[in-house]
Amino acid sequence: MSLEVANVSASYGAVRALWDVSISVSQGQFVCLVGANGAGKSTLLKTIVGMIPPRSGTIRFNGRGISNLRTHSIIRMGIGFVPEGRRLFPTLSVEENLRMGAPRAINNLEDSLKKVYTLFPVLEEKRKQKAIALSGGEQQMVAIGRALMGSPRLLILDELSFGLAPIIFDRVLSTILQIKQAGVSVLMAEQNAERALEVSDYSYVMENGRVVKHGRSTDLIDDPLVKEAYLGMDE
Amino acid sequence: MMALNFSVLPGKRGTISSTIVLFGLLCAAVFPLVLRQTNQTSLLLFSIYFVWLTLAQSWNLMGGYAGLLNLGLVSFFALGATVSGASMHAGLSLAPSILLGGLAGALFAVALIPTFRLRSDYFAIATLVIPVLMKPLVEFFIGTDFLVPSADITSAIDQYYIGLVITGFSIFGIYLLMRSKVGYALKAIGEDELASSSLGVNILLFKSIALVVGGFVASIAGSYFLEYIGSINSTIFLNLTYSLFPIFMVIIGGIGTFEGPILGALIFSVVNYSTENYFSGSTYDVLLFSVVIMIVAVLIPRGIAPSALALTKRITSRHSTKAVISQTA
Repeated sequence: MSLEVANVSASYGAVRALWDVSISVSQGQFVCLVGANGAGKSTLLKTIVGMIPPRSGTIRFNGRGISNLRTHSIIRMGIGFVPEGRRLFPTLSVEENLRMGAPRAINNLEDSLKKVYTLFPVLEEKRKQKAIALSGGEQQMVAIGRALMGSPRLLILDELSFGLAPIIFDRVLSTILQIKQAGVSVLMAEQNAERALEVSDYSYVMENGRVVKHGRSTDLIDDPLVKEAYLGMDE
Repeated sequence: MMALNFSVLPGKRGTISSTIVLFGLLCAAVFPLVLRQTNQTSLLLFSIYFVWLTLAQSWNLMGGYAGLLNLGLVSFFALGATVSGASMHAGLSLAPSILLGGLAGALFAVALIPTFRLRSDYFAIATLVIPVLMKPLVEFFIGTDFLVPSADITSAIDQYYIGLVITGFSIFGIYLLMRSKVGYALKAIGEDELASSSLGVNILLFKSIALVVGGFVASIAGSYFLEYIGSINSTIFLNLTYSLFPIFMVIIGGIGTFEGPILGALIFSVVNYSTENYFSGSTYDVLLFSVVIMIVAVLIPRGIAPSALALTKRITSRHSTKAVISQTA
């Protein structure tokens, strides 16, 4: 698995949202995009999965250019995408939501379900309940589980902490680490920079649609500029 | 291909409704037999409702299931009428002409696929303008006045049955489409487009299918309308009635449901028929219909069919809990 984003620019209509952004994710890596609201993290993720067409630059997944493909084809190449705000089908049950994530040609649907249930035992208990009746944390688990049903090689997570209590967010993050242990690469956009830097291997700091800093997450945590701007700590 | 593994069983509710509709169509089929031979005008009056029912089916597929806010249904309708009129003039018989009208609509729908790139509100505005652009084009390439040749004029009873067959096919064709993988994909897209695409559903493909099938159905309705009315001219492209009334019917009946367009078209037909009877030649039906729309919009914005179903569900569930209580007592 490899994802290479090189010099990508994108815009919403006339408003430029990304300027010359380059990032990469390699096999087994946990990469984070951190930055304030409106920094372009979400836009970058949406550009990668083809929801926003890039103006210029190249995006390669496993060496193949994907910047001209549409979302569904990109997803089918082995990318799991958890959109911001979870976007579950509220009137469907937990299990139906999970099944929605499975490719049609899947022959081991039960295995995939079992894998998700081992990761999130609470979902098995509530498999018949409607998604709308779940707590925020459980809904996030369904969204992650749904993205895992297609056995992706890369999991893209947009703002997991959305609407979650910090303790629940921590729990969800520890499962993401488990998923990473199983060999799935992770690319995550997160406003909670402190947590993001703690759990990830490598991070990109974004500001006004540009990558302003990047490096190993452990190094960035100690970076005085990052500390001041994103972790709310004065030196 | 598609990333849906949706094992929703055909619900009991859908089966019951479709049985009722099937029964209604059968009743409509024997209706002319019980009617006195002399009463041809009633048959003629009823034939126009087949046009409305079919148009409502078409709009429900596009606007209800696929979320394509098409404000220019008349472009398909009028194209079907003009193309079938032209082909009858070219010597084709009635059935192939109607089919050709439908195919022209389907082809035109394919040409409209690039407009999906527009945001949904801009798509709606584009569809509003398209019939205006089409009028001069049709006048230039196909003609201005369309008359059913005397050889193709059918008796009232034949006309009635042609309309019935077209309506039956459109209702159950779309019903079966919605129970296929295409239907499940459309329902998923209707519920949450972003979520569906992020699960690997090909949004453009399924919306295109809905537009092409819907365009075909609306154009068939137009072809049939020409046969019904005898002659039309190209100003029909500017007639908003055929764009807006189907939308009203679908909204009143229940948008994006199987029962909705049928119920809406039925209510419209009853209103239309009774005002036609009491104040012939008037436009009181439009007035009455507008009142119905306002009442529905305020009291039951989801439409009659979903609200009625929710109500029956509540009543039956109350009954069953009562039964349980009396059993335990």
